[in-house]
Formats: sequence, structure tokens, C-alpha cells
Amino acid sequence: MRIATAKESYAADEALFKTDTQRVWFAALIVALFAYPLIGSGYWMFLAVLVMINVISTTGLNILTGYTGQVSLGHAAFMAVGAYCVAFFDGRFGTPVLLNLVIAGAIAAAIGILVGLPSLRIKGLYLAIATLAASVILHFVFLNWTPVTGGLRGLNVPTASVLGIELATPERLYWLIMPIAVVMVLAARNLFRTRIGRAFIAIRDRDISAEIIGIPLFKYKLISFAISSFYAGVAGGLWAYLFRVVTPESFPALASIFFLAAVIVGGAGTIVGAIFGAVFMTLVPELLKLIAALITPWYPDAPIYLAPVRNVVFGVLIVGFLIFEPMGLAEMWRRIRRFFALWPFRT
Amino acid sequence: MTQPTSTRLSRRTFNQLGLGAALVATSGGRSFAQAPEIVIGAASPLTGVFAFAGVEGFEGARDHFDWVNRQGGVAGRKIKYIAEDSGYRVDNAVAIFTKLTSQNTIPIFFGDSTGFQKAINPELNRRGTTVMAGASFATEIDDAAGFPNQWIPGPNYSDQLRVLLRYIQAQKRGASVVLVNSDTEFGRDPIVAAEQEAARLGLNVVEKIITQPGSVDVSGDVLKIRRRNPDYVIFHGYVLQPIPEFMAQARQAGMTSKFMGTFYSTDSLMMSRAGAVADGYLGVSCYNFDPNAPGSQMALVREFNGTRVRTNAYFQGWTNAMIAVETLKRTIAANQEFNAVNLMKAARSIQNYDTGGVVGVPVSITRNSIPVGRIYEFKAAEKRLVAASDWMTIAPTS
Repeated sequence: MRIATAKESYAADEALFKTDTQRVWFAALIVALFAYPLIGSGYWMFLAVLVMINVISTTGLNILTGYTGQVSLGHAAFMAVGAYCVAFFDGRFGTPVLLNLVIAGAIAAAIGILVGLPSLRIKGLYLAIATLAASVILHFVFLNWTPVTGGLRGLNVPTASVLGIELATPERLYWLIMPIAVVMVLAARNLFRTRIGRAFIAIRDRDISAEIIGIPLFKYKLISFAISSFYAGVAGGLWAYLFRVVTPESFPALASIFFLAAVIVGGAGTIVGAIFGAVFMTLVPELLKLIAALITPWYPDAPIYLAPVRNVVFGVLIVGFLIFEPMGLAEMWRRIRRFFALWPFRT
Repeated sequence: MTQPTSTRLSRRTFNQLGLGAALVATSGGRSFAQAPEIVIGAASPLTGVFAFAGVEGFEGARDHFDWVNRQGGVAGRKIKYIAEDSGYRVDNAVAIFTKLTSQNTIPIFFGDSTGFQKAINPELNRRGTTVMAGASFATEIDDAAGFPNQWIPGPNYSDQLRVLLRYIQAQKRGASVVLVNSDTEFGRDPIVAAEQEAARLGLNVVEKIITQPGSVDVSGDVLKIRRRNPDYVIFHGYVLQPIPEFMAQARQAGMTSKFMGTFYSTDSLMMSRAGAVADGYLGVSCYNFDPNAPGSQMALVREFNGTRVRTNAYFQGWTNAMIAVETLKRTIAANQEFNAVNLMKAARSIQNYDTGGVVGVPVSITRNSIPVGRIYEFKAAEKRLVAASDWMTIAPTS
């Protein structure tokens, strides 16, 4: 049983890491992230990079949906904005990678504010449809603003280059994407220790009460949209550097559902939930594919028959989570932590 | 205490056991004289919106490689065909490509879509080890300079439209044409080329309609077509919907226009589902749908499938496999190693090549594609596509 965790001050109660155990585990995670390239092959490095991009994007959506209670079905479109920004600025002006990513986030945030404008008047399903409509408008722009977006053929993205080093492979991109992912996740965690983050939570829990206690709803809802879109824009920009081509079909509406599902499966309103959700949604289909691949040597037609089964299993897993663990993977993680914290007593 | 003699393990027995174990352990392995397999990878859309073609394409390639292996392989080396489901998603396909190429040496890889083939192109060029073919017929990929390591197993979408328009011009000079395209990269691909070709041939493109790929309510668009009352309506960028709905509503409105479509909607199975309204539909393909067509490869297709009717996508998979095998053969015959430069040099040396009847005329890889097409007409009563034109080759300069 862990003892001596009593907090003597407000600051201690609000610390990023409340116990030494947390600090040790976080240090272990950072060491693992630095050591991973030593053991990961090309494919596993690709997956790691993809997971981190999805973690950034899911964290952004979690800020908006999980913490502020604003439903969005346009998150993938904001990623697309970021991807196009990177493709345009890097391809046209050759601006540095980090500047491109900041621009991608900033422009996505600006568009996010525009899309968030109706959020004061509408919420819930109505807001979901409004954000979906915004993504349709953005798709139209991607398709028809040919001088900037390349129209239906899209844009090719130059190889990311930092300090003269070309980041052409997932192995190299990892060293760009991993630190950005860590910093953005920590920033999100910190956000909810600030006045802004608390305002988001207050709005989510009861917007009328929040307004009564002096939180300007409109301002904070727009800030939430801006921050969420910034995360999506940066994630989209990194996606563009990974895939090196952006077309109007790169980010379909279904991708927004993917991120929403990641938030729900991981656990809405928790930072660790966004990480778990993104990892689950990205890696479980790959693991299921691995099972099909293991059978293939004995049954050559396995890909044909097992591919649909894999989708069904993935769907059933998601439904199972919603039924048996509606609070998501983060709740399971919390129970595991609580078990060790209170062991040997019953939890 | 001494052990009983019968269970004592002498040094000689131990050595014999060790030798035996070593023989057993290595008996299942490959002998040193046996040539290694050639691995061909694929990201196939076995699920998702494109699964109807993905499964057929996978089976076409699988059957051809199966036959090649039964003949002893390529220069004595068996083909190992590894395909994984991409779900028609670019990120999945890239993951499969990365995974398979990190686990195997893969000289040739089959892609699943234009999006993936474009996305992976810089990586293909950077690696210089692998060449690609796939399910895309995008005009953009038919560019030997921009896409130096890819080929297309047929005519690009612009050339498909050119074949259709040349057929129209042969049937009726100065005919009026409406283009109906899906609002996707796939759908919009050949519009500019189609307009240029129509102008060159003296045909009148009187309307261009862009719709959602799976739209159901097409009454407004049918009204537009009806107002123009064109001689021909050409669909492109759809799998099936909304083509039957367009045709049904147009027939109900008493229109007599002829309906046409490109590669992925030229499919007897899908048209059979559309029923009587699809009677007379004209589609373009570069493959042979004649069940009795002569040629060694067509005989094989019949051998593998019996009476089962195969679609365009099956022949596309078969043709990709056939070109892949020919490319490998030529590279080996030239005593060159498998790399992108040597493989594409071999692929581009495929000129006036006899496909054993799969394509009815000798084919040549021109730019990155095989610019040959033929018009087929769907006979609803017989539920099959019958040739309505001869084979047409589109010159690269046209």
C-alpha cells in the first residue's frame, strides 16, 4: 500500500506528478521512447510514428469533446488543413519544418475558431452536424482552390529536413514526431491545471452554472476549438511529412469518426485515455491482421476470408468496450493503479 | 549407486543422438542448391468500398502465380505472393508496404489505389529496390518521368475516355455527349482530356455533371440530362451506383441516349444486378470477355475458373502478374540484379507482347501504361458483355 501521499498544499495537490512512483514511471516511459528505435524495425517504426500522430490528434479532440463537451465531426478536416499548409509552405517557399508545423497548427486553429462560432447557440448533435458541414465545405475548398491545394490531384510534400538531415524514413521522422507528441501531450495535461482548462471542465459539466460563476462561455468554447484544431493541424502536418502526398481524399469524414471512437474507447476527459484510444484504434487492427498472416502459409486464401472477420472482431471489441467499460481504457488503467496503490487491501 | 546398463548414455550414443537430431532439425529446411523464392507483395483492398474489385484482383494474380509455380517458377525460382488487406485506406496500405518490405526482399509490389500509389512514389524512388503496379489507372501515374517505377496494366482513364469518344465518333459524327463524373480524384481524372478529345473529334460535350460517388437521389441530374437529350452519356468514377438509377430514370423519362462507362463500371456481374435497364450499356476494357477467346492465357483462365464469370478486376490482377513474371524473366535473362532501374528497363522492353489472348492484340508498355481498349455492350438477356468494337490503340501523342 502506498503511504504518505497526503497533500499539504494546493500546489502539491495539483502537481503534474503527485507521487514518486509516477515520476519513476514517466522517466521509464521517456527512456523506453528513446530506446524503442534500437529494437523497432521499419514496420514497427512506421506504426510508432503513426500512433504518435494519432495520439496528438486524439488528444486535441479530447480537449474539445472530452473536456469541454463540444461534439465535433470535423476533426479530420482540421488535420487536412494542417497537411495542406505543410505541403503548401514547404513545397512553395521551402520554409523550415518546425515553422511549417506551427503555421499548420495556427491556420487550423483559426479555421477551428470559425467553425466553433455556432457553438454558443447550438450544442450536442446540432453542433456535430455543424462541424460535419464545415468539413464538407473544407473538402470543397481542397478540391477547388487548385492554385493552393493542387485540386483533385493534391500536393506532393517535400521530405522533411531538419538541420540539413533529411527525415525520409519513419526511423528518422520518429525523432521529430516523438518529442512533439510528448510535449503536446504534456502541454494538454498542464492545460487542465490552468484557469482555461478548469473553465473547459466547468462548461462540460454544466454550461449554465459555469456562466453563472463568471466563465464567458463563448470565449472559452472558441479557445477550446482553437486548441483542439491546433493539435489536429500539427498532427495533419506530421501526417503530410510521413505520407508525402495530400489529396482531398486523404482525410475522409470517416477519419473524424475514427478519432471520436479513439476518444470514447480510450476514455473521454482523460489525457491517458487519448493515448490509450489512439494506440488501441491504430494497433488492434494490425494485431488482428497479424493473426490472419500467421494462418496464410497453411491457408493461402485466408486474407480474403479473414479480412472481413477482422473488421467484425474489431467492431465487436469496440462495442464490448462501450458496454462493459463505458469509461474507456483509462478507467481500466485507473483500477490497475488503484489496485497496486491500495494492495494488499481490497480496492 | 550405479545406473542399470540399459539406461546408461555412452559418448557414442550421445553423438549418434546429436547427429540424428541435427539431421531431423535440418530435414525440413531448404537445401543449399535450391534457388530462393521471389516474393511479390500486395496491399489489396479486400474489405471496404473497393472490395468487389480487390478480391477479384487478388485472385487473378494468385491464380497466375499459382500456374507459374506449377511450371517451375521463374528461372527455377518459385513466386511467393503475400497479400494483406488494406481496406482501401492509404495509411493501411503504406503500413503493409513498410511491413512486407522490411520482412522480405520484394522486387515487385501491387498497390490498391491511386492515393497509395501516389503516396508511396517518393519512397519507391528513394529506395530504388522495388517497382509497383496496381489497381490504379490514374492519368497522373501514366508518366514515366514522375512515376519512373510504376506501370499500369491497361489504358489510363483519359485513354479510356478517348476510346469511348472514338467509338462514338465512328457511330455518329457530331454526336452530343454528357459527362457524368464522381466528385473524387478518381472521377474527375479524365474530364479535361475528354473535353479536348471531343473537341478534336468534332463531338459536342453539352453538359458536365459532378455527383457524389454513391449518390442515390439523381433525379435533378437526370433532369439536366433530359433537357440536353444527348446521344451519349458517359459515366466515370463510379463502381455501380448511381449508374443504374440514372439509366432507370432516364428510360422512364423516355430518353433514348446510350449509356457508357469506364473500366470499373464495365462489369457483367454488376450490370446483371442492374437488370434490364442496363441492356445496351457500353463499357470500355482492355481485357477479353469472350468466353471462347483463343490464346494460351485465356485457356488457363478457363481452366482455373470453369464456367465462373470473371470481372475486369480479375483480368487486371492476372495481367499485373503476367507482366510481373515477364519483367522478372527478362531481368534474370539479362543477368541483372533485381533493382528498380533494371526491373523497369525490363518492363518497358515489353513491346508487341503476346498476352495469350487476355488482351486481344499484342501490347506495348507505352509511358507507364498499355493504351489499348475495346468497347463491350451489355446484353441483359444473356447477362454478359459482348464485343461492340475492335481493339483500339491510343497513340501516345494523341
